Amino acid sequence: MGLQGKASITGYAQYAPEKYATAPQMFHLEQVADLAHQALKESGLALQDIDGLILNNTSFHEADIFVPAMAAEYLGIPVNFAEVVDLGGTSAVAMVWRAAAAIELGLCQAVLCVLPARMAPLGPAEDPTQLATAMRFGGHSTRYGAPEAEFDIPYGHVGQNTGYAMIAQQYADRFSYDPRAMAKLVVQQRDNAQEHPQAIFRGQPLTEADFLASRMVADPLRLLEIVMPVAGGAAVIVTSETLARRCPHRPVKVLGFGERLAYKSPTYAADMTVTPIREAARQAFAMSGLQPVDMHMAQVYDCYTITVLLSLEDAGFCAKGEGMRFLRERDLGFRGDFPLNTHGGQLSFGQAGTAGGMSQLIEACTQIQGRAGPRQVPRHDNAFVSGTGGVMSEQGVLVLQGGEPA
Amino acid sequence: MSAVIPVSTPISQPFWEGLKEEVIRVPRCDECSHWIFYPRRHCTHCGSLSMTWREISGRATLCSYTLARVPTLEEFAADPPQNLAIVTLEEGFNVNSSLVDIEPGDMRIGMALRPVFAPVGDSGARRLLFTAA
Repeated sequence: MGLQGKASITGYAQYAPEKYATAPQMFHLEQVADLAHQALKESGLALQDIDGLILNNTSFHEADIFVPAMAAEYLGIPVNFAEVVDLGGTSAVAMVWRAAAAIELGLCQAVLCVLPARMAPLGPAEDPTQLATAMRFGGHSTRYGAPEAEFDIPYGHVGQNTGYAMIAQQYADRFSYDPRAMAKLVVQQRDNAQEHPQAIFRGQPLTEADFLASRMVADPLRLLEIVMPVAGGAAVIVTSETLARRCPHRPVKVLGFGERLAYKSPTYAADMTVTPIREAARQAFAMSGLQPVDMHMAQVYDCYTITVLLSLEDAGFCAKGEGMRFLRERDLGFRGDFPLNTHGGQLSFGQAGTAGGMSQLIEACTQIQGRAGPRQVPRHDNAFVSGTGGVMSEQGVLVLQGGEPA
Repeated sequence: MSAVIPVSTPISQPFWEGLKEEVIRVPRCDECSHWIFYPRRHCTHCGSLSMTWREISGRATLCSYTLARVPTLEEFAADPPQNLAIVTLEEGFNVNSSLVDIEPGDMRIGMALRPVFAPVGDSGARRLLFTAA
């Protein structure tokens, strides 16, 4: 069942994460075209080779509906396959397997997966405070009949921090919550970021003492355990075997994937310390024929430290309850015995909205292609990439492997 | 304040009306006895469309909690730190809630709780909060 490993990522591009206040403002359609252009150059393809398109419709600036048709028209290319993905932080992972599946089905040859995440310029009649008002409830719907409008918001259960905090608190009660293990994760990821030219926290290394002095935001989560939103955006191009031969770099084969949605609010999880990635990773590994131990790096979605901890446990890198020990004992640096989030993770690279998940994917591709420069992982054939949306609501996994360069 | 006043729907109305009478009513599946929370018109366990609203005791335990040092909404900024809780009713289902009259240092996962039917301003609506049993 599943993919045959015939589709590859051959091109990618991403804007350097920047603070919203100082980042360039561009229409989302303009970002789609710009990121496509950059990624195509990498892949050795031309715009006219693209015959599949996957993008977001939620928070897409210029439209809520008919987004793919609008984008295809703007790009100037007809496509055989178009899709929107609404899976939050696992959208990048979700886009890639959908693209790979469409290619293996023979629907198309080259799929552009793109997530614009810079702000668009304000129109002459638009109110700059509008965005802040819209963001007040974060990912929570206030519409009549939405369960969260009725059973979350009236109790103040809004946004992401407190949901993840309550998962972490459950974990603390059942196993333990070791701030020093979390400090090590954060500090080592920050160390990794020092060698990425685009990382937002480059030039700002951290120590364990900095971590422990970091203020509590939602117990037991400290500020340094919570990702910082930034402006950005990213795209990848997934191609057939035939078109992959035009890629000047090593193609990155999509060997396996998994996806699992379990709930919107962890309140309704059967056990909130066991996350949906368990099923997603099991499927992805089975499809790829590889095991966690075969991975040369893990690029694990890290909106929060607890996300990484639970993902590592539930994906099978260590046993349930052993995650804190695993983080303490393993070397998570790019030259370590368990290279983890070698670009710094989003915690140190920056989280550009749903394009944040692209950063893990693009780092895996960069490493597999041997193009990571000073932070190059010595063995770099196989990579584990994960995505997480909502409050551990929806998770996805890719198992990637470097192919033969053309 | 408007967003934090619960707005009932034709599906959930008996729950919110119950709170005004200081009782907790929750639909229970007639086929498999599963408790359905939040209220829906199908059983999430067996798919049955047949259910009956029943009154429950409100005996519960604390499933998880946090203290939001940054208020999640300005409406909750008055009495810091804002407390959020997930509570497990003795029937086995979880609800979002908040703890009252418990010092943060005394909050323990697994502690026994009892319901508090807390008015939301002068809206007439009540929220289901919990305190130590």
